[in-house]
Amino acid sequence: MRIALKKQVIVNSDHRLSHVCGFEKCMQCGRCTASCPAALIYDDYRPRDVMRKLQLGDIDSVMPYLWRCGQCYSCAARCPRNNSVGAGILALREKALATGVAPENIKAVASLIHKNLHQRGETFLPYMLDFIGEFGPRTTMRCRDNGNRRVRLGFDRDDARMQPIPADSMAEIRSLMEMTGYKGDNDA
Amino acid sequence: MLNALQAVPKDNYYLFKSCVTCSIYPGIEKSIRYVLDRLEANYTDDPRHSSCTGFGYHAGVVPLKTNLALNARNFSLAACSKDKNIVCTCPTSYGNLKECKEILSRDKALRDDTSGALAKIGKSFDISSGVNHVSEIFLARLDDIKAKAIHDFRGVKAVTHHGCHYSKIFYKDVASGNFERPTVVDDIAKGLGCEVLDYSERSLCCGMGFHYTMLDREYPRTILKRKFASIKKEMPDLIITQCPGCTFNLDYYQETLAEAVGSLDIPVLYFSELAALALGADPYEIGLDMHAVPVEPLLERLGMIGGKR
Amino acid sequence: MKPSVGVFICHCGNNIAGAVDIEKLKANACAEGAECVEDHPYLCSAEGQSLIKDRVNALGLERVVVAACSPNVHERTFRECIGEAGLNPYFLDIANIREQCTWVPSEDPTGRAADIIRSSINAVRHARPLDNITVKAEKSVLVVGGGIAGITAALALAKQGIRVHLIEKSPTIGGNMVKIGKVFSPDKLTEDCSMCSLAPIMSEVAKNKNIEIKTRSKIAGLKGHAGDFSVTVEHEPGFVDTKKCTSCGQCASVCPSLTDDEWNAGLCARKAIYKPFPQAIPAAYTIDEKACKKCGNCVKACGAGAIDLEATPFKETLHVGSIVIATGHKELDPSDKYELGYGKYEEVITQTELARLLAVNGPTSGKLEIPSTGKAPQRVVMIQCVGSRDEKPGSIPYCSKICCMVALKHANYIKDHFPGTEVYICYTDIRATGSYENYYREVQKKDVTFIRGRVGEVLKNEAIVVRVEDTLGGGPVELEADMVVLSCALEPSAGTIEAARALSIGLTPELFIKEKHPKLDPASTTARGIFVCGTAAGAKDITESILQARAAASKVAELVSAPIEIEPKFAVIDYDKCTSCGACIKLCPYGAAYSNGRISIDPLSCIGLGGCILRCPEHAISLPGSSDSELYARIDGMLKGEPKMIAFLDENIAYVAADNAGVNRIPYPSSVRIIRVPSIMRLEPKHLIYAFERGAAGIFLGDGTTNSPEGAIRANVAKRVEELKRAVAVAGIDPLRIFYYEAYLPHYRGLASRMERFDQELSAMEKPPCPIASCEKRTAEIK
Repeated sequence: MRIALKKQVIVNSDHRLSHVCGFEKCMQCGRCTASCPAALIYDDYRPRDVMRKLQLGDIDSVMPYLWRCGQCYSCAARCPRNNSVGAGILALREKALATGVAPENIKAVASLIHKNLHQRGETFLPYMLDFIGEFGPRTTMRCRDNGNRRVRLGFDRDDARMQPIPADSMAEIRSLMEMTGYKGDNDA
Repeated sequence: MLNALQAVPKDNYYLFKSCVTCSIYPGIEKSIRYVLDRLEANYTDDPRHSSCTGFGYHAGVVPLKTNLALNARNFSLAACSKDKNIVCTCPTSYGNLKECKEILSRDKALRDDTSGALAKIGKSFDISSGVNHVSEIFLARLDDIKAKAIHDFRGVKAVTHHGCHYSKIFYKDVASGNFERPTVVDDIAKGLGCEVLDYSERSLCCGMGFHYTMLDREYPRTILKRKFASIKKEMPDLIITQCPGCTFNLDYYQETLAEAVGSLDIPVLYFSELAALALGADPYEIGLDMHAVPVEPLLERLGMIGGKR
Repeated sequence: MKPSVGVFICHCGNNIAGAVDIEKLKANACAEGAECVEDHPYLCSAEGQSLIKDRVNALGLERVVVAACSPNVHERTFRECIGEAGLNPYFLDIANIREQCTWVPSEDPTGRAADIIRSSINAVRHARPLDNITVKAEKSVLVVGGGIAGITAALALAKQGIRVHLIEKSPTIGGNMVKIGKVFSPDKLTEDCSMCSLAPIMSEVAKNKNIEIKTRSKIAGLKGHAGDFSVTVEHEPGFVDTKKCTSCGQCASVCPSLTDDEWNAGLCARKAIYKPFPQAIPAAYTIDEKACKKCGNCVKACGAGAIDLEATPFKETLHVGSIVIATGHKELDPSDKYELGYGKYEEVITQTELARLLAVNGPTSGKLEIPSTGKAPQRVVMIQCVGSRDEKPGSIPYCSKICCMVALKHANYIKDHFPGTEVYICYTDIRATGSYENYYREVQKKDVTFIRGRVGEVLKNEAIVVRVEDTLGGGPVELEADMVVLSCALEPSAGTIEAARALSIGLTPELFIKEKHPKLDPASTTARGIFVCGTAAGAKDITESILQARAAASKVAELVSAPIEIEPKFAVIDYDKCTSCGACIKLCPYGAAYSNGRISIDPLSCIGLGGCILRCPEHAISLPGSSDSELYARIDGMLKGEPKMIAFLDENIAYVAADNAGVNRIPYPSSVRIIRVPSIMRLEPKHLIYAFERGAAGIFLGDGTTNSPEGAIRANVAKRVEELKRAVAVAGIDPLRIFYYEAYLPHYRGLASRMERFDQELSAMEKPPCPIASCEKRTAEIK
């Protein structure tokens, strides 16, 4: 690869990249990769490589692999320089979604989470368990009545809590979402 | 035990509810309240706080500034409450709230933006509340729990699993053991009579993986195969957790992974469910029937239920 | 009666005479009341010096001013000169009219020279007679620690006729070098027996009449100061009289108690009564009190009657001139690194344990086998950087320097002696410096596999599995192994930390002994007279330990082998005023003030900065050559006529930088008048207020000592400057008339430009408010 002699304009305005990720002081020892569950499973993902690309300013090539990370922070726990690949990944994910280079299924997740927060001020809701796929006949049978059971325990059927968040708080939450530029499908 | 344990507040908790916990295992929250009530702890259940957004934040779909603003609002609510010590059910809430507090303390520009946004909704900027995980609270008050316990778990062999976000992000603050080998849940389990066994993949993540829960089940499945294979070698009666996401993964996947690792059928209990049972809670009142792997056989063996339904 | 002053003005060829009006200067000097005023082309020449001596003798002159080049060039020469004429050498003052006057391009060099000469005349009238002092140190040294560093230092000193007390915590000297079995040799590309090198040295130490070895001994406390220490040493009983013991071993054969053998890294057992290893010095058995059952079998068995189970600990006080700390290191205990499986899996051992296994006198007589099963490993995997280069809690942030070479050494040995065994080394960087590169290459050729990756974890899943990434392209690897060797960090030993506390010397954040200046003064500690060598000061190999031991020995010898002559530049206490409040003891960063019945200042430790003078509530401390009266006199001398900028410059850095500015003909404002001070820490508010009230427009403070190993502490200087500014503000003077500049020797242009800038700022301010007449009352009050 050729690193051309032209001024590199790298705007590093995300606090996580400038203060938490620590890629500048990464010594490329590979302990993060050795500890990473995703690296164990996916041949194309190595957290050390993500740090290397950040060091060389080659962020575009890393974009497709951002969604491999399971955010367990084993990398951060083991790094001898107190770096955090996980934090860097989050900053890059935000950038990917903002510039539209995220995969379609991730965009769908983003849309869903935004909707949940906007409607109920909560991220994970009971209906999402339907989303989560096949867990075997016995489990499906045991858990199919969980909707009623939660009501029995005093919780709202559709909300995560016993009582949904009151309206005035929801107004504040929506307002903050808008003020911080968090857009979803239902925003203009 | 480290100094982090000595710093755990002994009362006046601002209960920070978890949307993952209560969507999947609402009984966990009930068991926590049960124990806190039995301990005569003072706590506030404020309906106004939002989700910490950690599930979405770590999936990468909630922007940093939104995360900071919503949690600054949560901190503001806690600071204005009569009980100010934030206590989280979920390690992701714990890690996320602490991270928001640290970022807002260090970065003036973000702090100014966030407090400006809060001012517009009439909230003050006050991030002074401390953040702890409820397992630290239970550990700090373990003697009181033991004193009031009417059951114990002698003869029960258990393995524990600590949430990655509890021990690996703020690795200096682990209340018992250290970040490579946290023992908060072990200490609680041992205090209640369990024999806690070690297993080789103890520090391996459960593989919940945030966005993976909704998209690619290959990730959790592959990791759990390793995890379960290692656990199975010890033949425990029980798996004890401190995170709703881990509880879900370790619980729901056992049936479909039995083919790969052999049959498991090891019930999974969140530590507060264990503590509540020890204090005499009715298993159904704390929703143990909502678990995927049947807990009933263990409860029967311990005499806590007698074929009741 | 003011003492008579002779003023001698040098032409310095044309350097001075070409720029100033010599006759005018002579006339001014006369006007100041000098009893003798002469000039000469080259005062430093034999003829010039004769002139001075003649005049002194002929006229009975009592003080001499030489107006010439910088004191840094010829002050010593002229002191000797007037000394030969019978005057105290400190009755001389140099007026620097070359480097700091004629060589500086400016408008009125004659006027400036006149001020400088007047200032010297004033000051020299207040000079007191001073003499060098001789400090005679106790010609003995205490060496704490009997490892390779300690015994090297001990021998080096003993051979110079210096008495050595060598104390060692364990029952024998030898230290860590005893355990390592082999040392690597870069020129021979092979391993040498470490005991073969060490034991003869240990014997030499035992035989040397100037060395007294005391084992089972530790430092308990310290009093005194460099040259004169009283150290309390605690001795634990070994219960065996080392002079009577014949090492027959009968006692051990009847001893019922077994415990871990620490000299074999705990891999095998020994009796409670034992000889640490055959070459132990003292060559005797000893009893481990913790393991001893006090059954008395050994007493009965001992033919020499050497055992006394009733022996008790005792203390003694040693008087020594100097102390050398050589307390060594220990290997980091990897038990807390749960992810590496040490203590959980018997297949995981440390490099020290491996060294014992491979040692011919070790628990397996040199056979490579897994300690618990006795099986020979098929594949040995070494893990580098365990606890080193790691900022996590429980680890050390620096590189431990030797572990790469240790791994290579063991890998080489295994390949040579146990062919067919696979060896893998998982590393982050291979640090084989200098000619050790040859060793690295040869080890590679022996088919040792190197994986560049820092190991994540070690698990047991049927086999032992090491998880590492091959960062050179291979990706994550799960490496099966049947023996895993951890190359652990070097940590300070418990003895190092204990000794530092007992001696009140500084430790680094990693708890090694803090060297005074790791680059320029590496064998010294923060306390004068106490030196350090070996791994007590940080990770290093045997060669470096020996080098540092010799450096420490050399420093000890400088201090104790002969009486030392010290120039009278150290602070002195007036006992009529001192109330023994101890404030000076608390604040001196060099520990120069100490209590000894009364408060004393150690001339060896005091570097003469003068910071303590202001802090003494009774003003009982003074610096010879920098008394209040001399300072006032100099200030007076500089401030005649137009308002001036007085520049107080520290003598070692800022003043020399000003000289350099002159050498390079760099201009600075004509209003600048430089006064040399030991450091600006000597200055008190009263001096500055005096200067302002005598007509100074501004005061420039230049100090560069914070950059050198022996200088003021930067925070203290900043604090003092703030204090001075506040005090002058209270006295009604604008604190912006004070300018502080941290000087650098090479940056004389910076000094000049700062003076220029300050001069401009001063011109923008209102004229200084104070006419001389109304000041005199005020200055009388201040004095």
